[in-house]
Amino acid sequence: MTTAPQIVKESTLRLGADLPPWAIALVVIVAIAVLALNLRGSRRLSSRMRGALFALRFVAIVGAVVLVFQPTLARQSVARTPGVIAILVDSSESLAIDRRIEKARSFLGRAHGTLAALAPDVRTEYFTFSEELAPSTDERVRLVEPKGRRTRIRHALSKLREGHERAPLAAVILVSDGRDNADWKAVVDAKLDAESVDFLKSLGAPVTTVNVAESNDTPDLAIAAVRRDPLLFVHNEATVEVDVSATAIPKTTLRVTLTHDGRLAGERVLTLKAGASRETVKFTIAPSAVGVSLYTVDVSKLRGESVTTNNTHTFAVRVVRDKIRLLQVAGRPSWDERFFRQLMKQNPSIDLISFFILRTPTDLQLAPPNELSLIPFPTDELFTTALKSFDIVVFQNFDFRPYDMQRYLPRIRSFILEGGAFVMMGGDQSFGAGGYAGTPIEEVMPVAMQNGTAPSATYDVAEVKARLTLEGRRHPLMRVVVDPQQNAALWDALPGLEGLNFVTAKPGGIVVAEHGATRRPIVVAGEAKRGRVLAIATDSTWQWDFLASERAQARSAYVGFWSNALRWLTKDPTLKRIQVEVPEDTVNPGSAVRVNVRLFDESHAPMKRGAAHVDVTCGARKIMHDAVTKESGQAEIDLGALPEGACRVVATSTDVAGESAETAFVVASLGDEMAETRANAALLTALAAETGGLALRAGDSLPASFPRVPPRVTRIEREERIDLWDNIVVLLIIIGALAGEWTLRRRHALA
Amino acid sequence: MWAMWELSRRGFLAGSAAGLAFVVARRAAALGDGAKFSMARLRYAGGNWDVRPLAARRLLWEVTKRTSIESRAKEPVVTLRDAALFRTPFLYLTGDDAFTPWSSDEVANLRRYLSRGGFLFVDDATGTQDSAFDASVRRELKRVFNPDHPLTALPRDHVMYKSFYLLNNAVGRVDTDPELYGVDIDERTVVVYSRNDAGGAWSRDNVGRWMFDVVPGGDRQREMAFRFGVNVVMYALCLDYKRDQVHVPLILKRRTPYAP
Repeated sequence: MTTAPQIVKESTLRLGADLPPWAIALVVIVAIAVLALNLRGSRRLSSRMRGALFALRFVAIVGAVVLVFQPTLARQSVARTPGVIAILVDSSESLAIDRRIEKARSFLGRAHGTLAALAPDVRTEYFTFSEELAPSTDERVRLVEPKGRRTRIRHALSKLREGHERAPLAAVILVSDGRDNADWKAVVDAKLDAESVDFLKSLGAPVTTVNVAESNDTPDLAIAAVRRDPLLFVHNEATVEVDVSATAIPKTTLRVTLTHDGRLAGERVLTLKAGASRETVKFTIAPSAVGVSLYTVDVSKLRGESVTTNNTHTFAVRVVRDKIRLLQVAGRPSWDERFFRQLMKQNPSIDLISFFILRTPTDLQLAPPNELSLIPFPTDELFTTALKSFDIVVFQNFDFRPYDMQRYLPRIRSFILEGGAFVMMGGDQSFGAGGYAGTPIEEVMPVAMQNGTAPSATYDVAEVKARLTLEGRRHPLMRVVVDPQQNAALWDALPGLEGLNFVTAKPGGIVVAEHGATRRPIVVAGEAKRGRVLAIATDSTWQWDFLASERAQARSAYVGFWSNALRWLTKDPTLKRIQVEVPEDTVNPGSAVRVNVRLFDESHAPMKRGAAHVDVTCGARKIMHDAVTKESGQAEIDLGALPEGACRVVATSTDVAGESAETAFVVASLGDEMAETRANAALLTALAAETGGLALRAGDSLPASFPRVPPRVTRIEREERIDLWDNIVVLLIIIGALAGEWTLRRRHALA
Repeated sequence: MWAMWELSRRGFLAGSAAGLAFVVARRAAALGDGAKFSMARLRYAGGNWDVRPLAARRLLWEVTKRTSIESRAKEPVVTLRDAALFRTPFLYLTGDDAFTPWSSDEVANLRRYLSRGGFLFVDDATGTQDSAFDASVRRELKRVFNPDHPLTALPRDHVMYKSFYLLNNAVGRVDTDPELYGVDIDERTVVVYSRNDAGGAWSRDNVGRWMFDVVPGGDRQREMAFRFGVNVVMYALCLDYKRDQVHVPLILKRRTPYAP
């Protein structure tokens, strides 16, 4: 930013002779001595004569000195740059508190006359600032609305300095409540650090501050800060620390709550002492689903609070999976159990907990307990406190009845309905043969069964050949290779299985593999509210692995099936044919929100020119948007700027029937302007003190003599020189004075 | 209940086993024979592959009676060339003399069998040091695995010694070599080799007589030989499950329920 210089005329008297100072002094001394001798030699004369002679000698001496010094009058036209007085008006949200902005406007109105009177020596520039410095005008600055989400005083001064490197600042007038929440937020005792002091000196101008807050303390409770890891792991405990700040409130006890999806996730009671304080409460959360989760912290609203919008804070956390936690409960050691365990143990993404029933009381006990490595089956721990820490529970040929587990079955059902995954694998102790018919487990299973122990009623030991159903050919569970025909051929080539539990698919249960001859279900997938369930009605899937390896086939079927199953059971987003993502979990107000939707075809290849539809719900506002995917299978949807608050996005596609994808984000300031509303008079005082400015209050007027840097000459436009000595008049005066003195001395017969 | 984990190991296990007394179980059969446990006896050329014909059957009877494992009534006999080899993931190799080197196809087949999940139990029926059978076994295993997976002595804290019974050593008809040998692949022991003629201790004829004397420990040593056999079977089916169990309290302590 530059300032146009003003052209003014100035005259300067200079000495033309290039005399050293001692020579000048000698000339002056000689001149004075001559005059003194003149007075001394004429002391007997009448005072009239004496005065006349001295006057004539004085004129002659002065004339001689002029000739020696050769004075010159320099007449210049100079460019003088006026200093800039920068008026910085805080436009952050905190100025809305306690009518601070109105006090700022009132001050500016009163200062207008004072500033106008300083022209043209100074020029006044107006700015508003909150997060950024923005130029304004005299008129506009008085209409500014306090909406800025941060107060960055130092940043504003820094930007001001950058903009005035070529136009000097004469003074800065800072109109604010001092509530800096960036670099100088910690300044509370009128002391700035050395680096800040150096920075202020680099401004080169005094800063006069105007504190528009009546008092530092206006009654307020606020969520001052929320600290948590930006990335959380599903089912892992994480701590959320919430800072609650209180200003000018009486001693009180209040509730701080944490909610997730409208449900209470935690509550703390906090006792605050009177006055100003800041307390931290901690919540423990364990996100239950992968993706973006929204949490809201609320602190009680008190009567008389200056601001209540800062009593609530919504934040987003991105939840990822670290490992799939799988509980394997096997009714007895078997090859099916062994190959399943071996596969799970080899998978680095699986955290496996196994419990096998190694011995029953009917078995021979030929060794005392201390010679056995057996442990009790910890049913209570597994199916009460620890149950929900698992992602998947697998019952593998396990009969629950001998272990007094009836009371845990409702818990397992709840675990599934609330988002857990459950697999029942077959065997002579499973499904109906395990007594599950009519239990809470059967309620959520995708298959119906009948209890019984007779093989002919509940299971068959004959060899069965698994065949993909029509649904199975499309289902991600059975998609071992991408090409559908190759995939079906691979399944057809697998060895037969030994034995089959009798189950029938319930409505909603998807039979993905069946016995080719009898069409009895072998693998049935289903959903139970938020959870997923899988029924595998045989205990010999291990033969898809080991027996298949005899035929030199890759283990792709067994490994691929279980890999798919784990991802499907845990609702791995990468397995979905429609995926949605908002790159930023927290979007700044005013920033455009971009939603990416990806579509995949049945073989999970990117779907180009697919129809994507998103529904965005931000509070009461609902936005619908349609887009078509590009070659990459992705559609980018620009939603523009959205109102502050939590938003949920649901993506659907007519090309991917029956599937949808969801995510969420928060439109909220990344700053914490309203987290603490206390004014900071100490900072304003310190700024004024360090720069030589004044620290004014809102009711003060700007004095005409407020500190500022005088304007400086930047250049000489034109110069005219007049030699005052090089003149016949000077010579005539000298000659005339000397001649007059000589004439008087002759007439009165003086020496 | 987790306070139990703080007990001494012996005390804990004693209490644990006692806890099992409260459960009520019933004997049942797996769906098909494929789901039941069996050990396939390996037939090979040369030597005497069938030196302990009744050992496996008796061990399986003991396994069925002592544990929850369901076993087949008969154990198959396979060669390394048979397609049926892969129907039984547990292979039992015994003998008392040198045998003919396996063909390269047989070696490759065994390598694939073991690397894909199979298990080989080798038992030297001679019960002597440096037998011809021992030389043949080491020669063939070297062809199958060496140098990537050498035959080495199993450490005393190997799960094999605690997969069901707590054992200090692995004896058989004799107590010639206190060590068990094995080959590991991917943290799984795929070969276990005993030189104490465990099959000799297990062998019982059809009228119920023990076929071989067990020396020097007599009946107690025979019982320990059966315990060793049970542990081998249990390891083959459960792998390092017992190592998991030691860590269960810590693992579960890490886990947390959902937020209230």
